[in-house]
Amino acid sequence: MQEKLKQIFGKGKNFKLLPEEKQLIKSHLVLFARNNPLGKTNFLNLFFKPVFAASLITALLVGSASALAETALPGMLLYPIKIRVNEQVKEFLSFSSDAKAGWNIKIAERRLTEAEKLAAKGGLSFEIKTEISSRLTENFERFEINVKKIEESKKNDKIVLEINSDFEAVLEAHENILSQFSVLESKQKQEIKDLIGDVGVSVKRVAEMRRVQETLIASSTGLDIEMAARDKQKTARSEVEEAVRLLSDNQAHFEIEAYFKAGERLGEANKKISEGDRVMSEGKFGEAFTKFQEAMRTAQNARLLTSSAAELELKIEGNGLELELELEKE
Amino acid sequence: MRFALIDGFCKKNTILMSNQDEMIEIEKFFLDGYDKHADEIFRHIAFRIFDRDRAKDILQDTFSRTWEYLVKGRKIDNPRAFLYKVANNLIIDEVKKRTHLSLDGLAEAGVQIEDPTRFENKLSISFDYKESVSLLEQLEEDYKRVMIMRYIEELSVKEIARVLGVSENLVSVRLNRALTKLRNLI
Repeated sequence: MQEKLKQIFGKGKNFKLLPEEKQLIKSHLVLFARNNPLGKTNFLNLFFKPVFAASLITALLVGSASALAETALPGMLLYPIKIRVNEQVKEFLSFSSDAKAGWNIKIAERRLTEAEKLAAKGGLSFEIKTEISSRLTENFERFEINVKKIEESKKNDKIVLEINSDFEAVLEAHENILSQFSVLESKQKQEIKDLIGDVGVSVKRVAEMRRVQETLIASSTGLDIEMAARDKQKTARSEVEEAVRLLSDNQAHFEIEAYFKAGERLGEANKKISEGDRVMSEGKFGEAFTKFQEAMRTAQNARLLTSSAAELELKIEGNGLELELELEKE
Repeated sequence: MRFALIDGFCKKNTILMSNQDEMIEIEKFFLDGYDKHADEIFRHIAFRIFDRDRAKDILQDTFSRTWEYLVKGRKIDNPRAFLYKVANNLIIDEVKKRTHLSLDGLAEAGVQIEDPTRFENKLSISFDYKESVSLLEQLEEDYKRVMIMRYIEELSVKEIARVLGVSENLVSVRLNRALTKLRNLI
């Protein structure tokens, strides 16, 4: 038997990266390393090592600017580096469509967070809103292309459902945050409403894609879906527990009514998990998977809302918003 | 005073020089490690998750996390063991996130397994490895890991134990259990 195994597995040794793949990943890693240098390195000493000066100076200058650019908002000097260097490099460095689609979700989150931070400071002008909307649209189109590639290459409906579900949770959470700003009287009220409209269109589109996948999965059978449902059950429970803990730790960022509403939503997520447990015990693993996924989406939504409120130092109300930061008045 | 200033400047730049030298050394160590171990780590990841593109992403993540570890001033005594450990943690996260397509799953999806081209397209792994994949799929992650290291990478039990940071006895037990499971399939 040992010989037979060696014969079978021996071929595996020939499986490796193509030379061009190996070189490409190496170049990605060099780029990553140059953007994440050793902390104490100083530009001045580069001049003592002329061999490295040209490439290293550029890389480290870009690296330092790149790190600073992460907190830049539209209109700031380093914002183009954030968009054209940091984000495009990260998308470029991913191989699989899953990773690229995941990064599209992150980009959408970044754009919406920028809009919220500007709205909190009264800085969401028409021009900036237009720029953010345009980038959101482009990013969404790339997301759809990447999801299509996943569908075509893997035929794994569960992955597509998870990705669509994650995106929906992100968009809905930010739609909610932006809605909090829209009730205030300010010169940027129209810009905020326009942005909410744009986000709403994307939410509908992603929800539609998600429902298609749910319908396919709900009726699926087999060992795969059973294992996936059991894994999803555990993940959903952890996600809800984490959201509950986060909500409890950040109670100060919610008015009482809003706090209880958020708690109710998490209660609904728990109910979905119980429903999933029930149908799973009946052997309906596809349906159980979709229920656990729905619970996760609710919990993710609550978690994102809470963490955004904390980051923006907002106080979420049932029908409005009381800012701890001062808004610029008209 | 002028001499004091010059002296201070020279001392400061000696420190800066040594930081730069340190960085060059770290980068060399890191890239040498990549050249030496990338294929092996990639192979290990690919045979655990059966997805070439994702395996490349995870390989990249493995090395970028290793870089982040190094630039915090930490030392790596056994690069191979360290890389396997980082890769394994990422693989576990990946496996939890998704259920890889089993051959049954492929059949359900309408893929004709006898057609090697379709098999290759779906998992980006050549038909040559179909038997390996088929056997590995029957195993739990702990057994799969040691089987890949023993029969594909041809590491000894001692080497596997060292890389995984476990006893040789535990490695032997896992190998035996894996073999028992596979015995009926071969």
